[in-house]
Amino acid sequence: MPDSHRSALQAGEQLGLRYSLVLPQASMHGQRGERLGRFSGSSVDFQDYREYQPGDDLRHIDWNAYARSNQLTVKLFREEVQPHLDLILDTSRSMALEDTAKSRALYQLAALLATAATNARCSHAIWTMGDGFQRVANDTQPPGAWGTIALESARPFEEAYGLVPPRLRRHGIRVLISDLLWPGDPLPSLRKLTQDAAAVHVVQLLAAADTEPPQAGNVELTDHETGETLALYIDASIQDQYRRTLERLQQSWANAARQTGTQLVTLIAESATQNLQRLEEINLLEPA
Amino acid sequence: MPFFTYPLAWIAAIALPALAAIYFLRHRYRKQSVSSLLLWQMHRESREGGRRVEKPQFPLVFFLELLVLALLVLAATGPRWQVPSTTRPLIVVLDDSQSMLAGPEDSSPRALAMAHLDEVTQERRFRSFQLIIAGPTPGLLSDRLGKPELMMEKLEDWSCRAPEANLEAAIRMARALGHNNADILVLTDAPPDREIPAGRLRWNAFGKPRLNFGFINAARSPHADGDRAMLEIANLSAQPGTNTVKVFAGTNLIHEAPLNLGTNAARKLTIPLPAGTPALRAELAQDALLGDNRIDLLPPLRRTVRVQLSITNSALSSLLTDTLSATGMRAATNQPPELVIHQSDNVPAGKEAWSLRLMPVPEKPERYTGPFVIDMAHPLTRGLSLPGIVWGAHPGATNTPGFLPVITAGNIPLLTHRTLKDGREQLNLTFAPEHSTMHDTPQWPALIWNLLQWRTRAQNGLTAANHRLGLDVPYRPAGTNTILTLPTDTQGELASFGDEIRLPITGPGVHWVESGPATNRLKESFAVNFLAGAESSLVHAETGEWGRWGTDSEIRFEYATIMPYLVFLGLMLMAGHLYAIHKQGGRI
Repeated sequence: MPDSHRSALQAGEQLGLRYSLVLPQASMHGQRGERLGRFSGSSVDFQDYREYQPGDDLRHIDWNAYARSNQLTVKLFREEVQPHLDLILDTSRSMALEDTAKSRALYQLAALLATAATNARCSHAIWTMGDGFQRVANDTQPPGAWGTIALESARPFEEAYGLVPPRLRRHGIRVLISDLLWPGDPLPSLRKLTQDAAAVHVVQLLAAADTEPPQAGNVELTDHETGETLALYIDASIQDQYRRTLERLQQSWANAARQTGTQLVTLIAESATQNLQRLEEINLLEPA
Repeated sequence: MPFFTYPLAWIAAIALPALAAIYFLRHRYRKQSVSSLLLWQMHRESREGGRRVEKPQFPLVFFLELLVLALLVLAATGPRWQVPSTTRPLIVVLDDSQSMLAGPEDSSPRALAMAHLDEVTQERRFRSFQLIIAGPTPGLLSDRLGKPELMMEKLEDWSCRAPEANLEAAIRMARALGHNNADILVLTDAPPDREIPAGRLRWNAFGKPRLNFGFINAARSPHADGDRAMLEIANLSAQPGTNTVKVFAGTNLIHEAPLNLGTNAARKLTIPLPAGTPALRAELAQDALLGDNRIDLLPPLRRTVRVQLSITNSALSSLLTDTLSATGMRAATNQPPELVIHQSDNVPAGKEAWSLRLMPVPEKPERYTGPFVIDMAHPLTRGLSLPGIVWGAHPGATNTPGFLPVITAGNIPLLTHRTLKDGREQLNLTFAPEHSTMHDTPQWPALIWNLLQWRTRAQNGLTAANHRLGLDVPYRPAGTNTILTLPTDTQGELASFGDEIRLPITGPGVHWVESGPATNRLKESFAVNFLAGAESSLVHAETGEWGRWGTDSEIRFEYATIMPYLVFLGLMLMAGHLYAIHKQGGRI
């Protein structure tokens, strides 16, 4: 991993120490862990009584209550769960757009969220896109120990998902960091992410150059992801159209997010670390 | 079309590359990477911005603007176009003299003139083309030709071998042929000797003042028992120079002399030749003009006349006998006489016999001292001068009917002449030697010499063995079937009309001519030499152009301006330009 990326991870880790991942109630369910779950479990914290039902653990029958009421009553305790964060990183080449802070912001946000998850006593897994989804080596370790995260995938999200889908933890928290610049309806993509998820957050990370079209004149545009080129004459009208197209794209994602209960936020790479409150607004982070 | 010679046009033409540069810079594209082309697919929906750049991108309006600019620049030069109905015939006067061949073949005045003529026919249109060759007498080299290519083919016959070029006569001929309406182009190697006003004549010279030595005179005449050759060589160039003359008798070098002469200076060489010396050949070293560097001199012809004297007066007979002997032209032979000098009234017999009758004179004749009236055009009076002469003659002599007076003393005929029907000449001379002083002067032998010379000229064959190119070579055939052999061994049969013909000589060298029946064929050789000092001279050779075709007012009529058409066309294109921009929604 290049030193610039390593330093970005370290910077993100430093930032993440100040934050804790917000755990939704829905995420208090799942594997046994250190956090009290939403459901009954095997912790020492009493939760409630209820009538015995066949199959209940006989060790939880409150025999004193049975003596008083002649009713088999089961004593319920709070369950202890291990919340989990699946951090899905868009590692396509477009995230490493030249002359932008896009890749650095991606590394910083990934490290920040992973650290915030740790602060929230939440396990995490880092997924990258390539010929399918793969986990980053040593992703359970602090960011400084992560393996290489190469931003060189040429496959769009849907295609990579179709090849090898990520094994996302049920009832986990899922965060997708991407520029969301791939063709197609965003709704199916979000449906895949929200299936069995406690919460899904989508962070659209754009470079400033993505939000503003080039200046007027003849421009030969090169798709950083596919290498395809397009020579265009750009004037004020085409600049307006570009902005409207980007707006429509973001609107379609916002609609899809609304339909799937996903929290969507857009950050500009060059100012991402100065706008972390946007992540608090969507209940992804909270001060530690 | 003066566009390419119009400096302002070139300056204005800078607008053309400037426009192209503007378009080039305007359509130069810069490269930029983007995250995805997803957001740029809307160009399919747009008809304006976002159109794909095509390289090189020069839209229709660019070419329209370029065309409009070019038309305006062209219009600004005030172009004029020759009106087809005003084209004129072109008559080219070609200097046929040898000086047109001076210098290397590819840069001789002839070669340069041909190239110039080709340029003229390409620059300007003419209705027809005609070539006049300007030699000693002008002549047509071609009929009227419709295409310049045909004219250029005819130029191959322009040999430039004439000893002189009578350009003025050729120009007069061109004016007559063109009815003063044709454009006349003179191609020569020297400037005109008069100012050429604007009109129908243009004079182009292509000469250069090169170094040239040449023979300007050469003669070979009888002298004592042998001959004597006289050569005159001149430096005919604008700078001093050296050369060497070599004279060969047959194959033997008999004389060699270096020459170091200033401009127009000449050296005379007189070389005595013993009897029996064959043909002489004199050569100069090679210089700019080759044609005047060699001459041939054949032994002179020694014509004699068979003379019969039938004079009873012993004193007169003795005088005539001595005079005839002194000429060296009297033949001693028993053949029928060619000239009979008699006193009788009878006409001598014999088809070849001319007669000189000495008219009877009284014992006391009149002594005339003048005024003598002489027919100077008569062959007998060549070089004759009679002032101070006492001529004794019959005081009552009258002109015999049919005779024309040649010499008279007032109204008294002294010498009369008539030509008989068979071509013989008959002369009547009234002369009393006892009462005259003429026979004591050179006029008497001159008169007799003229008589014999005249008679020899009436003999068959050539009159001289050496001739100057450009002058007539008279010849009396000895019958039919006259054949002329040129120095190139080319033979041609000549048509014989009358007693004397002029041999068609076109170049220098030793020629042969023969005629007569096979049993008694007369075959003679003669030399023709290029001896034309004025034509060999390159002192005044110059390159330049004088005169021009058409006055200013004529040119205005012959050339119509096309500027309005160009401006109108430019306006039309500008309207098209506006329409194209409007159709594209205002963007270029």
